[in-house]
Amino acid sequence: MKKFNKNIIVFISIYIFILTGIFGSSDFISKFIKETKHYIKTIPSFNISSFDNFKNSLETMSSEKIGYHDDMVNLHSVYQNLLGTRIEDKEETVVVKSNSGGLVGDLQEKKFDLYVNDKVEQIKEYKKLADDYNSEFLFCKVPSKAIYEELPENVTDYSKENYSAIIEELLRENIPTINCVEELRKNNISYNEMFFNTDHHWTPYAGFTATRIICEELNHRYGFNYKNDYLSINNYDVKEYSDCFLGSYGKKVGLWFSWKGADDFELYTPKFHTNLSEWHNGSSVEKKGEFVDTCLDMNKLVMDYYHSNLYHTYSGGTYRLQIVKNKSNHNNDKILVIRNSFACVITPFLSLQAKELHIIDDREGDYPEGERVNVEKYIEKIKPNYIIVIK
Amino acid sequence: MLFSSTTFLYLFLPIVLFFNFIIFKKSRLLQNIFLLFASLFFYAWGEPKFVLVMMASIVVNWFFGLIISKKRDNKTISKLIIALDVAFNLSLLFVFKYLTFAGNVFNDITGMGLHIPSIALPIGISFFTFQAMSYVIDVYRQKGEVQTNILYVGLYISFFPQLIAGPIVRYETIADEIKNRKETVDDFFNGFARFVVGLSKKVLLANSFAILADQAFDSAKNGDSISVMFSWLGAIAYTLQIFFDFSGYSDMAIGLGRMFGFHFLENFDYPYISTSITEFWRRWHMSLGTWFRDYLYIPLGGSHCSKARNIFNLFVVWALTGIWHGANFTFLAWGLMYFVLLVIEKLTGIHKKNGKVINVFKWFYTILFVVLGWVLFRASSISDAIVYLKSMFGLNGNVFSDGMFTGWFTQNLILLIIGFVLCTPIFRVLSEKTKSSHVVGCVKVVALIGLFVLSIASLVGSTYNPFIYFNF
Repeated sequence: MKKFNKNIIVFISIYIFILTGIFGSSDFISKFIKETKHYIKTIPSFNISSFDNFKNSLETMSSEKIGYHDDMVNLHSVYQNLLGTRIEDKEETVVVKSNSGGLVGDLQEKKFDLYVNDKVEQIKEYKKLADDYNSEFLFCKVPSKAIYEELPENVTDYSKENYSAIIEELLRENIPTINCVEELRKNNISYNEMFFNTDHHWTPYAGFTATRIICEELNHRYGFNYKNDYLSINNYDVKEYSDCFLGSYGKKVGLWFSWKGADDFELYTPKFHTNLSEWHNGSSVEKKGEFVDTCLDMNKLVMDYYHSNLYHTYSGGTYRLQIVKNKSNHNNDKILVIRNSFACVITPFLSLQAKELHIIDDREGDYPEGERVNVEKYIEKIKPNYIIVIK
Repeated sequence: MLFSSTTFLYLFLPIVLFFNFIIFKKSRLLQNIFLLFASLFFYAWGEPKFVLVMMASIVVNWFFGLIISKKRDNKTISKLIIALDVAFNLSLLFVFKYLTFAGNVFNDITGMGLHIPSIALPIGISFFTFQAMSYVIDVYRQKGEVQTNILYVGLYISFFPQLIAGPIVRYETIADEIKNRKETVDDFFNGFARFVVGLSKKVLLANSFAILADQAFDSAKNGDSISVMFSWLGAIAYTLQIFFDFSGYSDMAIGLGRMFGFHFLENFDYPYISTSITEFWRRWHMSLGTWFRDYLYIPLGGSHCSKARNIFNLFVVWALTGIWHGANFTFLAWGLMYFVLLVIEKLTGIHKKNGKVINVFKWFYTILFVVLGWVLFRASSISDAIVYLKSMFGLNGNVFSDGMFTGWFTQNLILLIIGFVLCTPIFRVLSEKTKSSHVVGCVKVVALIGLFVLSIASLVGSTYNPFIYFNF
């Protein structure tokens, strides 16, 4: 009797696996049919670019639309972890697993004076605008994870050196500056409390602490009147969501590239009454109400590792322009914040300390969406009391 | 389109299998026509306009095949047809692959500063032109029936399993199978299992070694001083990368061919266990070696001539073998390196000597030159190759070892061990010894399924999937 060929089982199993990927997806087939129909219509025009578009669509679709895409990313991360891989280069970002298992990216090239000078010149330009329009100025230099982490021997990074060099130069130029690395150290905030494991951002707790540091510095330099109670953690409800946040690095390399897995996420909401309004570019509606209804976007608090960003629960994310008005504020101060994404977990708490908080993201590129705001014209228009650059 | 892509695995292959084995199963003619158009579509996926180059090659070689089958008895005309066919195919290869290089060399030598057009290289042109020549020559030698139907010639030249990365399938190997193949259940499922093995080699091993090799070679190219140990690590990583990539592709090609009822010859036979350079070239890229042997070396006289003539024949073959791999002096140097080593072996007879100790020595010098040869092969210029080779021997004032070496080595240790083991025929030996074991059979099934799933995970989870045959 002929021996049963076990490779039949291999074929059948694998094809069940493939068909599960195709039919287990909500839109693989429909997208394939749609793209193919669209391409067939363009064939008579012999247009190469329509073939290229068709090709790119199918290639993206066949990878990203298979039903178990996220599970495959997780499996890949397990495989890489078991092999001992510490460095993954994905989508032009190098993600490194530190000695403590934290995920680190945004590694910095060797320190060059040109890089330092370039950064300092940018800050000086903002300071000059503040001086020209009689606003008080403060620069808050946020830290990067790489400063704190111990990286493998085959990774070189100059984040620490570059950070120190920039601070040194800013102080030499008499630019009012907060050295967050130093200030957070003074506040006894540990590294684990400071940064997410799987994301490049700092935690809401670090942002909250940074808000207090900013207020204290503004008070020390310019007599800024702030409400200390609003900067005490005891006056906030803290809700912890365990193992629910997979940050930017984690999304690239997978859930289990580090055995630490996903991060916990904390949501701070004031115990006290608040009355705010919030508007941002691209929105047709001004939100009004309590802190949770205006400064937070609870729609972003979705427990989906790869398709949500819990960090954007704070502030709703990054917008080219966002305005928060505090109806029950104790002073008449107008603050302009020029920011990067680290300010997401600062501006909600800072908005409680001013009558108006205007937030501009003037970074180059397509992110965030929308037209870049002309910072000088905006300062001229709103005449803020304080300009804080958080970068 | 690459075999190691989700587009091929989730779209192209299932659709082709469905149409070939279900829709057109009752008509060999329709199957062959379908496979031809599927192959042309597969090729066009990379660059649509180059399909025209392939179609021109099909038409011309079909035409020459017809003429030569009718004029076979007239030696003068036959030789003329062969010469014209070879000239056409080599001209095609020259224009697309070597013209820019040759023009730049001419300008460098003469200083004339002629405008040299930059011509894109159709993927796989080295493979399909050699296959096309094989068709006409094998028809002349009566090693295969002439195909009056141009579609069948087209299918032979463009068949997607072996189109872009070989093996070079000689016409005589599959001439009969074009019309008279028998797809069997065993061939189909065993072919698929072979395909899965090849996919795993490429995705799980070759792609990982590529990352390490690129780190080392790119650092050296950028002018960074790399340590002796790191440069050796990079060279060894590339040695493993190119083997698992190329042999993986061959496994996939052979496996796919088998699924459709075609039986291609083996292309790799554990080359890194070779104990001489002569043996290495009987185990590495066998389809290329035998092609040059049968279509160039033997017609030139082979070894059945004076020693001087034999050395000349070897020189021609190895210079062309080198340059076939790419339009760069590095490939020529690589080929000529093997020419020198083979001549030394021929003159000394060392490759025929045997003994436990001498075999270890022979293996060592063989693998040493193979690794050094891959440095030449990988480098983008002779000067880059020299810099890298000097690093390997500490001649750049570089340190012996550093954090780059220890970091990359520890992070790749498991993979390196797996790679070294799989370079030996240990699994083939174990498989033979346990072929009647039901338990081992079940383990193999689970392993193959697991490898496929892991390969998909790697394709989805990682964006790094290099294609190293763009020079070919």
